Amino acid sequence: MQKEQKIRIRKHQVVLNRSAGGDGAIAFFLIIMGVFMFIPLYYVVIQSLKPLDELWMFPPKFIVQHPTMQNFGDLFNLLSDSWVPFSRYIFNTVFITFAGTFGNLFFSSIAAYALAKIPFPGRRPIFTTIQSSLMFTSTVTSIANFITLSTLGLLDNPFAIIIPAWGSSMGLYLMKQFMESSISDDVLQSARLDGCSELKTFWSIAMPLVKPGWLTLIIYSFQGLWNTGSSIYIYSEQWKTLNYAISQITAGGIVRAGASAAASVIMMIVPILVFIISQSNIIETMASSGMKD
Amino acid sequence: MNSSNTLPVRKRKRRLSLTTKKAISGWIFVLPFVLGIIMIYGPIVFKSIQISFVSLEGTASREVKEFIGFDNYKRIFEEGANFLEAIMNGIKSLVIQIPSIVIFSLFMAVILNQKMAGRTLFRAIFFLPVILSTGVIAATDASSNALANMESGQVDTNTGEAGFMSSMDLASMLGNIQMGSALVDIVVGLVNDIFDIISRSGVQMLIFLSGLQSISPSIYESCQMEGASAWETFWKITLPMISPMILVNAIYTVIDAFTAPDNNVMGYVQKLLRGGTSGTALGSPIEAVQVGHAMIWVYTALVLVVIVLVALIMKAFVFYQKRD
Repeated sequence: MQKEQKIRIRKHQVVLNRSAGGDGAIAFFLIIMGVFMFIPLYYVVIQSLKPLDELWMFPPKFIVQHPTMQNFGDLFNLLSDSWVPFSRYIFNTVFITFAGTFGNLFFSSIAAYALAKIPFPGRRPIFTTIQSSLMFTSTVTSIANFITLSTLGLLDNPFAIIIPAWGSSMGLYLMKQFMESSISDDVLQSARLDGCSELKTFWSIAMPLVKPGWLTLIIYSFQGLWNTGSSIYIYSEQWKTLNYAISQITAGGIVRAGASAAASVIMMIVPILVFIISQSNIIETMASSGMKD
Repeated sequence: MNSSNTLPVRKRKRRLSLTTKKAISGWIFVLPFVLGIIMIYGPIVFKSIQISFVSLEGTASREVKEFIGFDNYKRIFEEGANFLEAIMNGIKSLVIQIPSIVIFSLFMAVILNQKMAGRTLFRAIFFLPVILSTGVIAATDASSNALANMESGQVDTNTGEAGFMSSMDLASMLGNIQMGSALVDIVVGLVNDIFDIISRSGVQMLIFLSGLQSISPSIYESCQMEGASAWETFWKITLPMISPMILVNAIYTVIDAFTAPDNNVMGYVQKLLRGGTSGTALGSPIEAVQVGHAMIWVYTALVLVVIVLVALIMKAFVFYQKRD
């Protein structure tokens, strides 16, 4: 195809060959869609800043006339009345989220690495089994899971939530696809030839190459575990989560509407921050490069 | 890192072949995960299958069981015509949903993968529905939604977080400008569908984004040098390279749709498992539990068939970076 070479350079990097009109159309589309998606968030934030009389105006207003931090104050007053110190709920949620996310990341990745990149007998049936277990969600398995966890002696402590999170098949499935699609066998082969042990190959060669994959897994797993609410596996107050504590407040109904809007904002901020931090950490990896074919 | 931990075989005199060594480390790597799956899901699956084949009638402790063969499964067809119909409806709607969600999320991911000002912000905005639809926030939204509908005197049939935007603002807005109610329903339904697709594309978009980020920039660079347009680059490079993620996302979409707690079938089964008999022809809570377990397995089998079908269809188009 003979075309006039027009390479557009922006900030020292070549940009795709697209007309300026195309860029404009995409920017326009993004902004429209972005505003559309942003409205619910904006609405929740605005709700949390409204004084009580403005909260129940109909139709709901998208502008606060008298912004106030009263709702946040109410929320903290309510929380300080809780059975156990409020910091305990925060600790529980943070502990469950971190232990669950990183355990899930480690076990899924190492298993995915073996399933994707080490040919060993029996890997096909294992993978098929794991794939089928994608279907078993907590909704279906909750009662039987209760029996299992009680036999294992894991009831009423945070591991009742953390350990099932480690076995999340979705994480393994995701990591396996990433390993298969973006790691060239030749890179691994050359590492092995240079005397790299299988564990080290996994840790220092494969994992850096699938960084976008595991950052995604972190976001996915984090945001699920962060919202762990009241669970049938945990019944003593000292191991309840933040989500549970907050849902107790919001259950107060119309009177607590302001405090519950404030609670939503607080619960939302953390996953959003995790998302933004991990997304800005992704730099274009050199995944499939490094090989001259 | 201590290599003797992973390869204890090295210490032996008899040298193992490379394939055996690989096999051993492969097994060691998957072992924790497989053990976890067996320990956590094994008993559940066993117990549930067992219950689906027995009669628990008259056994308070649920210890003594009487094997009754496929009777519980037969009862599904007798009692639960709605159940089978609901599954079929679910599968039908998936035929449209899978392609639309996958295409939309891929489209968004490609756009958001470009270098531009504030792209992390845009990504976060498009991931918002996932964050907004979980936990406390969804509950708060639903209550304010119900309240708004109550006040405007409209009964909202499309409850759930997806209906948040549209039913709350659009319906009342359209109602205010005196549109016919049939027309309002159509418009609201359409907007809800679109909003539903957008709000369920968050995770898929994220997976596509990471897939795009692991495509080597040098491939794109060489495309530039050859003078390929953005359009050509997409079809010739991006799509084949991202195809494994299309498979992941198609399967994720199926699982997400079938196991969502607000899924009709899920709700029905859950009610039965808790011993609820209202709205069914089942005699006792115990029967409900038995039939509920049988239903889980019928449901799981059907969904697995769908997953296998999707996987087979997609497999034909998936391109893996492999050469052996």
